[in-house]
Amino acid sequence: MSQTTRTVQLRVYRYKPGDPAPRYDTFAVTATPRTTVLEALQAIRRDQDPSLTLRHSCHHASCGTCGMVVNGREVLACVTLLADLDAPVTVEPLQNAPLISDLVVDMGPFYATFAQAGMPLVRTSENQAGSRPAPGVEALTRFESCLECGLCVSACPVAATDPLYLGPAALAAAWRVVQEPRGADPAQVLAWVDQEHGCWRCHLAFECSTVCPNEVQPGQSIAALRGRLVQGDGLRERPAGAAATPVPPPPAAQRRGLAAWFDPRGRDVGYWAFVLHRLTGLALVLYLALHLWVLSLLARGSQAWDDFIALARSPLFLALDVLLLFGVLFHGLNGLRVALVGLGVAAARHKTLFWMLMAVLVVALLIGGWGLVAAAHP
Amino acid sequence: MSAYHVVIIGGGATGAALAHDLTLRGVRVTVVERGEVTSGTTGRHHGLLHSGARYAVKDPESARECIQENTILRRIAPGSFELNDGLFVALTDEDLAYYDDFMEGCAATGIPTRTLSREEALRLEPNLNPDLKLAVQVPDGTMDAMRLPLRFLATAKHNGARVLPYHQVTELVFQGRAVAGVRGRDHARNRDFTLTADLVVNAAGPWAEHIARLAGVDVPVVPSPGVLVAVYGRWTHMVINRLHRAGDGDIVVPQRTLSVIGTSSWVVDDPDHLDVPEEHIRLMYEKGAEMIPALAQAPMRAAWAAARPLVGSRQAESGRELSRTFKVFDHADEGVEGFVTIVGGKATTARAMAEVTADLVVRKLGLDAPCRTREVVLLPHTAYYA
Repeated sequence: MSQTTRTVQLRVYRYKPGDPAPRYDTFAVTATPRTTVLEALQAIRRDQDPSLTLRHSCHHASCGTCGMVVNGREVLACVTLLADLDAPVTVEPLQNAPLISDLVVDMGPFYATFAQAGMPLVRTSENQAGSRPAPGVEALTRFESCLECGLCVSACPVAATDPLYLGPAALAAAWRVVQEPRGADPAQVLAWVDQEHGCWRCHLAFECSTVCPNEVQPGQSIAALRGRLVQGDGLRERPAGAAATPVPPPPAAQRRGLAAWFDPRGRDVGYWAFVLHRLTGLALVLYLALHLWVLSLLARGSQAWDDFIALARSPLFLALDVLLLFGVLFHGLNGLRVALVGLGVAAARHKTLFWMLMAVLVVALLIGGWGLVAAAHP
Repeated sequence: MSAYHVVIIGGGATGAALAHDLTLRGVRVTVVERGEVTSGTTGRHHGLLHSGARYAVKDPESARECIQENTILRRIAPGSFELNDGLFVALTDEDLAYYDDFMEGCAATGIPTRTLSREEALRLEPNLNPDLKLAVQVPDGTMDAMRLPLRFLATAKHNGARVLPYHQVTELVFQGRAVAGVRGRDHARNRDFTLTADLVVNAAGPWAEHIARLAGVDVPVVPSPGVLVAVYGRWTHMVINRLHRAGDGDIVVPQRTLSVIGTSSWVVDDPDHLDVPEEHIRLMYEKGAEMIPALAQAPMRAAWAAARPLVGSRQAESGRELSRTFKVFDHADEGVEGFVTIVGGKATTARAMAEVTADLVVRKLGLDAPCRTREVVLLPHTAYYA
């Protein structure tokens, strides 16, 4: 090839059953502007370490086999160019799935849940603009968009803490069945997702939709399922005796646990909102405790109270007051977004809604902050 | 189930279909695969369920195999195909001159056709080159290159077969001049493994020659790579083929939200070294856009190469001149018992390849068990992971 080549370092996650702990091996590979992460890993296996295991098949983002975490983001390795990544490139297996070896995870639990949604692989084709199929070919079919790659489940902060959560892929498949039953029973599917570990478990970080390589938008599908359920017809459609299906506990998976709730690095805006919502929630609970303690000063007499008032006029205290106001505004406004989006309203525009509410937050914070300072130092 | 144990080397379409076939005949089967299943040639084809029309003129044997298997697969793997048919479009007078041979070939090999006028074709597929002369509709389809073989493997596993990915065979175990097992490395656990077998089948595709050499025999397989380019957008519903002799960039397969343009063809020695030459990518765009002009502007999703395991002489230059049919070798003919190689063929004909191979295997084992894979409906691909 007549292209410029360069050497790229890859830090690859290594683990074999029986190893005391995983480690990272660093490999140098020669890359052209077109070299993908998958091609680099294949070259490593071919030329440097035949014991490196990875999954791959179609090499064009159609089979969903080569999902992995590259520089902290879930991607399909076959369509991820080394040239677009900061070096050294860190390659890790998908999260929230049992690890088999190196970059290989067990897709068994994923499919056990996914298959329950009962979505057929093929669907009726959408006609192209201007196309009028001839007699005999009206029933053209095409494949569903979901590649069953598991990136969404790996990126989901709820799947990181709840092993029984049905997960974004299965819930998106469930919504497809509700949208287009194709012989399936939507009521059964709605009953299946209407459970503690079903669509209600989602906290709307929307990272599933961000990492999806084929624009399936599981987050929006989950919101749509909730919308259908709260409209009532979903609940009315619930067949007798069709209580939530008990899900067997899955095998141990690599889960980040609560760390995933507080670490939004490399993630999209929905995930940042998710993390900030939790942080502000916790902070407000702590503030309430502090507030009760301050009120208790009243019982100790006027001197204690006067000392506190003096403290309250200090710049540090005023800064904390503004921070408190931010917390209240963020939690309240984002809570409004979560409530609306979570019930299927404006789910497709959750980011726009977020930035609109943040604009409200900034204005309210400026006015409120000025008010706080003015009140303390008239 | 009989006491006989057969080890199949290769977890591609051929090995998968063979595991299914032999398991149904009561043989104990273990599939060993160097990487993930379908990670070699199988997963990387353009996803065409062949009608056979592409081969109707030059390679009638392959054409007949394709249309027969096309019909069988629709029956045993419902839901695994986009039933979208295919068009062969004539763009030039030269293409038109090929029409008579093409129709004759299709009729002779049993491939149903329907000739569409320029207007009819454009009404069905408005994105076709408006200069087209005519088009012929054939029962092509889009398949999922990975999920169909997974259904063979899923059904085989359900019936008792073992599938061992990340198991690389490095050595054959001999008893005298007979192959009696395989030895190699389990990369998932970083340890060696040995499997004894009454018979070993080499279904390693373009790597078949490498495996055959472990037995000291030779098989005439030519790894012939082709470049494929997937672009964003589904520009047609049907599979679009150029109505002329097989050539570079003569097919566009719509798959999910992508269109896959294929292919080029050359010959390599080592299927582990597959380049994706820049000029081949350009050629795919150029040739694809002759049939569907909008492809020229469609952004690229991926370009990749896959090595066809063609049967033929090492003197082949491009691979185009070689038949796409398959061949089974009983290496007892060269003095090595217990070792069979299956090479060639296509994803569409994997079941037929398995049938012929399994016929030989059960005969060699002294079993009387007929093939049942024409009737047994396959489990869904999701069952593979269960």
